[in-house]
Amino acid sequence: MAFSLPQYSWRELWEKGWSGFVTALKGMRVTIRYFFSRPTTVVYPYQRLELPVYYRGRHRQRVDANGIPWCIACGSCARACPLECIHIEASANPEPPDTKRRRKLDRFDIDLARCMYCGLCAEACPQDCLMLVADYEYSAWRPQDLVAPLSVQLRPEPLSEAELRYRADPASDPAPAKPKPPREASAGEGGEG
Amino acid sequence: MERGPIESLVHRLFAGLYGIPVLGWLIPIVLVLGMVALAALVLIWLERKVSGHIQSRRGPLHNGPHGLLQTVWDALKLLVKEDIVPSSADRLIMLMAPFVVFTPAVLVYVVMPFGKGWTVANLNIGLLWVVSVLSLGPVGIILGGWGSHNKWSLLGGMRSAAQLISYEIPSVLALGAIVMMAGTMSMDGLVAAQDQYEFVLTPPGLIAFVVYLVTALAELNRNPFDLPEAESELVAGFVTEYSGFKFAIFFLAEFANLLALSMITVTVFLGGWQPPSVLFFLPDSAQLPGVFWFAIKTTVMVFVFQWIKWTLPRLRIDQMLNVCWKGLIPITLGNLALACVWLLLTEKSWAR
Repeated sequence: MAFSLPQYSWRELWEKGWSGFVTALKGMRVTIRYFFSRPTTVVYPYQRLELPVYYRGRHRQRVDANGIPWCIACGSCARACPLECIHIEASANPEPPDTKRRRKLDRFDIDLARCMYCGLCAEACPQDCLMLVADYEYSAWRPQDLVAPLSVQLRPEPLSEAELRYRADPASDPAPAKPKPPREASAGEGGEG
Repeated sequence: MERGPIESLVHRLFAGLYGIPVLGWLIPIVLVLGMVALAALVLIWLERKVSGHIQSRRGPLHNGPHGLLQTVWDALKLLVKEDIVPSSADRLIMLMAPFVVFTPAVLVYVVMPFGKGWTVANLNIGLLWVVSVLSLGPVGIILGGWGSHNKWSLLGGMRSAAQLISYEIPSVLALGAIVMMAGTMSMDGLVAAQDQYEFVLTPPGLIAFVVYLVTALAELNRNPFDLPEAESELVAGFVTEYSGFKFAIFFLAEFANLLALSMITVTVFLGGWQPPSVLFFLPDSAQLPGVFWFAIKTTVMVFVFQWIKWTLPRLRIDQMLNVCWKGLIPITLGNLALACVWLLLTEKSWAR
């Protein structure tokens, strides 16, 4: 015989069979508990996760009162980027608004299709200008459409309190991502997609 | 009595043209076929919902209330899909296979007592009819596996044959104990024999019920016995090469079988269309019509089958055959003896 099956005594056979039956019932008890528990999935377009402030989504550049980014075109972010997806071109600024911004940005493109959202660019920024925010809804049909120019990176609105707190002390806001309360979820459930 | 031409035609269609009651047969056939097709759509939806919630998902949501129309669109999609036949396949056999699987799945409903007097044909060998017709299904599966000219399909078909041949035996032996206790094979008779208490409440009935559940899972090719279409081993088993309409028929047959086996379990073990005997305290005025009890019990059984499917992992082929030949057959044989003792002990058998 090519292989031999293990031989069991009657007692072992009974114990194996009975434990198989009982463990099947135990498994069914587990699954029925899950059946009656609330699903953990989030019905995305109708229901969104409340993202924490430290979520690394797309890039934004903080601007001053005149709408000009704080960027000094130093190129630290482009050098910090492991994927080389930031392209900066700059020229001399004829009328610098302050001593720092003596160079003017001509081009600041970030290839979001190539970016891996590590956040090293934001960490490298000496002006605390470039930052990654909790926005992930910017899909496009073609990868070349995902190259974000400077104009879509500007962030005119000031930082929220939570963002400021996080930037002051990154360990201060450990709140995890939570789905919205279930009532609103069921309202969206029947909607036509 | 004078009749108009149309009236007389209708009368003759009901009473019989050349001895064949055309309408008397046609109406139940259309009703049963419609019910099977509709129920299969609902059962596929239920399957997806049950599996979803067991896995902490939600299942289909967006088409219709709670995704109820999802399977309708899925079916329509399958119907308009291209029907691809491999160039080396046996076209005729491959075409035949889904229908050979589907036909027995529908024929089973002929003897099903849906309610009081709601049987299409009350055969006196009803249970034998059910068992024999259901055992035709694997023929179609083997045909599909052979005709596809694909190794996975052929292996799936062969596994199905091995599985069905082994599991028919404990299945029939389990039903045999019930037939002994009821003294009849007619499905109506089986229901009538359970007017005091269901067979599942008797010791031999309970053992037979558990064994029959296991064999039914094997006959349905469902987890933990889904070896004929084991995805990780055989791609999709005997349906690997099927697409479009033929695939839809296979799918329909699978769920028609699921419904049929649930109904058989309900009829044989759970008292059929009668209200559950544990609810004896309900007044007669609070009772539902038999069809509703039958539908409720069948739904519960379908849920149990799906619950088991989404709980247990798949057995290996040698384990599966071991369970059958070394486990279930000795148990059912012992159960037959137990049924004899039970018959001797209970008063009911002396009265007969």
